[in-house]
Amino acid sequence: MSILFSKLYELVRYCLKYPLSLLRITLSVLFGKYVYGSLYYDAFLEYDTNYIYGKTWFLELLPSSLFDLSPEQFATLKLVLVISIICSIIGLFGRLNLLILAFFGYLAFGLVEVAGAFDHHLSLPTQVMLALALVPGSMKISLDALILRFFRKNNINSSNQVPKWGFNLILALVVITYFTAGVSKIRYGGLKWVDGTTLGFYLKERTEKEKKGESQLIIGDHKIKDEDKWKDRFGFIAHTYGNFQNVKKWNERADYIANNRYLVIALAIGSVMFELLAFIAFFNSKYRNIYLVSAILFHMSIGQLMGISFRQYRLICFFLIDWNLIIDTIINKLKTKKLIPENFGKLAS
Amino acid sequence: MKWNIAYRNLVLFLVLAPNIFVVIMGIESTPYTCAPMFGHYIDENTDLYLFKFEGVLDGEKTNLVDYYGKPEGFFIRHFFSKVYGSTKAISPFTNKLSESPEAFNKRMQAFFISYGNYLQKEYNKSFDKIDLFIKKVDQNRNVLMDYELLGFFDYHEQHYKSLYHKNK
Repeated sequence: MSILFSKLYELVRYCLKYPLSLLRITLSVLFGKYVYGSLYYDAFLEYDTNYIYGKTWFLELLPSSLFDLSPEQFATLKLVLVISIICSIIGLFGRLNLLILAFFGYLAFGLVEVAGAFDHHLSLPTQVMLALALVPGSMKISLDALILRFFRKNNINSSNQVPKWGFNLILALVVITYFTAGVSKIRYGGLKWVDGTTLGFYLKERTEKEKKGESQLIIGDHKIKDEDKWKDRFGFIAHTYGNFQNVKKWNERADYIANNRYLVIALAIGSVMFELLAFIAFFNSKYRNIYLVSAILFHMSIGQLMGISFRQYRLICFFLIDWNLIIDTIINKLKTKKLIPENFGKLAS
Repeated sequence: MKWNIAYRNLVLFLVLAPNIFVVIMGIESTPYTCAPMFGHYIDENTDLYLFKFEGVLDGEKTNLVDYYGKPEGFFIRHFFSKVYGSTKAISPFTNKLSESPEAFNKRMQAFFISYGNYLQKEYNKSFDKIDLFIKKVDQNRNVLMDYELLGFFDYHEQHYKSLYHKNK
């Protein structure tokens, strides 16, 4: 039993040396599944007819022939997607397949944006997939690595060193994503955003329960000067987002928070501070862990209260946590309390 | 070694530069975003509106809410973000870096023509014009101002006419 435990411990510590490889394997599953579900034939058919002004910068770069596919050609395209997902997971021609998978992300979610809604669930994961294709460390646990190791028997040690810039780049993407969300709240909502009324509105909003024709609100600003208005007299500035949680229990909890003035102000201040302070993730491993665990909890609470899961974000945050620090801390505590032998870690390695 | 550093710098630039650009400019285009999802202020005094599209043929009116061909949220968001556009020239909900009456009219014309084609093809419906109405509501959708005509697209003249513009 202890030998089995030692081997398991050794395996876990080995895998944790390559967090970007673990992220590649797991994110390819979640991301691939989401891309597959988002890429449907009708989106291609509608592309150049109804939505000519909704093109994303990336779709503008693609040849129009790509959007003129027969059903058979589209089925082939989806087959290529499935192959790229599988090969990204197992790491066979891994970088090439990650690039292909990232391409499908830019394509599929670009088409979703063209259809009407920017899918913020996938903005960060799509960029992370692209980064994983390009940075060192993402293919350390892969079939490619096994094959390379077989042909480069004499060069094993040197290939185990992973430069840190790849990891830091993906952490930077996470930091930028949260930081800009905080900046946008203050930039467009003003400092008064932290008075909690905007958050309260979204907690109480029941987007999917509204009558037909009444779910999507547009925000106007009557303070805009008349000379700045030329389309209409209302000064439309934005559309609202939504609350898609339909479970009564969570709706009641959201209402409770929204109706508690002090709680909703605290949450609004906490949200903005959390986002604006994202750069603390670069201070050291301890701060990084605190920030990323907070981010996971942040998304879990948004998921329950507003029905917006951000599952892929949580996965990315999970694998950027410094698990070695956490395990070492736990082991040291257990050693201090003499619950495990002094030589525990050394025995296993 | 030099190549490694050059490669690293190239990847850093490729991955980070578009993000920095959209954050500074305050725009979004998949997958780069300034994350404006809740980037606005709403309280009980905020003006909230609902759009309504109404087709008119020989004086007979049809509410087009059943003919969007997609979820209402998608249709209205697409129309507002990509076609109609914010009053402010640069909106965080789209990738436009400028706005002008010419560009606005061109987008409205393209949208209504292609939407008309879609209605004809999918529902066998055609109209003399499509009216664009706006209704002011509170956060619970209680009516504060009943539907007001914002403008209409005339399919005979193939042109969008803004009533606000006309009255000025």
